Amino acid sequence: MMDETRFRAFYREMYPRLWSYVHRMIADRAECDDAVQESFFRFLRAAPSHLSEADQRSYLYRIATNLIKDAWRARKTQSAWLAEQEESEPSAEPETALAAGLDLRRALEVLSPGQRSLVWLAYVEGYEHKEIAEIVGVESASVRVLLMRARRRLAAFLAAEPSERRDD
Amino acid sequence: MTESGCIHESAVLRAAHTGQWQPELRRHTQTCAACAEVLRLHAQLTLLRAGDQPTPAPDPTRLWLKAQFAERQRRSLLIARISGFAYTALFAGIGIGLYPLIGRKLAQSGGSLPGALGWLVTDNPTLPILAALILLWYALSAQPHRAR
Repeated sequence: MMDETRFRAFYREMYPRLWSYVHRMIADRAECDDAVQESFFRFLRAAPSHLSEADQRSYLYRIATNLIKDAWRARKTQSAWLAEQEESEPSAEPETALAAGLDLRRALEVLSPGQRSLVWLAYVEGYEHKEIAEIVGVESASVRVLLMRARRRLAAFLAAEPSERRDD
Repeated sequence: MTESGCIHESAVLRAAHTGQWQPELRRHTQTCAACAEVLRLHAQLTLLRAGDQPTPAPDPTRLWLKAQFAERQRRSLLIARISGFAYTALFAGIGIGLYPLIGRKLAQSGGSLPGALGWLVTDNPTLPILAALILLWYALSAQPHRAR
């Protein structure tokens, strides 16, 4: 296990970065906070101590990605269960949110959680395709194509007029 | 730019992250729509992250102690499993070793089990005492693992 001083430094450096990453996939702040804490906890327990700093970061992102996948699986089951109950309820989405101009936050929601994860790791964290493949658990050769599709989808959404976006 | 984007996209992203641009790559982004889009997206997403307001990071001490405790628990569980296996093997060994002796004594005592077991107590008093001690030791050493 990593020693306490190194862990504290690693935690200080990685907490805001990991939080931003997880928050893109899990909007609920409490749920996001829990996932981030659980990621660090699992990292402490499982990460081999001989890893380089870059590998430690990748390892942490891999753990977080798996937790996000689990959360999405659970949510899928829950939403299927809730679907019947919410059928008659009106949508709580405020019109103003859709009418906003360049809203990248909203644009990211157009992407699937997997695509969002790829985009974030590549464009914000600066990971190479091979590293992304290891973190997300897909074939290395697929990352480029998946990223390109995600980018095009994102660009198309951002280029569209706000009124057109309502159909997405 | 090809059907699957531009081959320089990775290099452009790397340069955008490190800030180390080669002049020809910089020129390329001015003519390649895919790479220009990559750059634009990188800038917008980086801005988005800069605007994030994460929940203040909780003190890592709690996490550290929790992980230490979990690690200790894992170790003691492992020890409990190994010792459980060792005890099972020990009892099985004793059973296998005693079986022919008890069988012989059973035959000698005309099939009476109390008669055969009586031999254990009278002729080999150390065996039941040893077994009782092992059982007691096992019960006492297994107790803390269960409590955790």
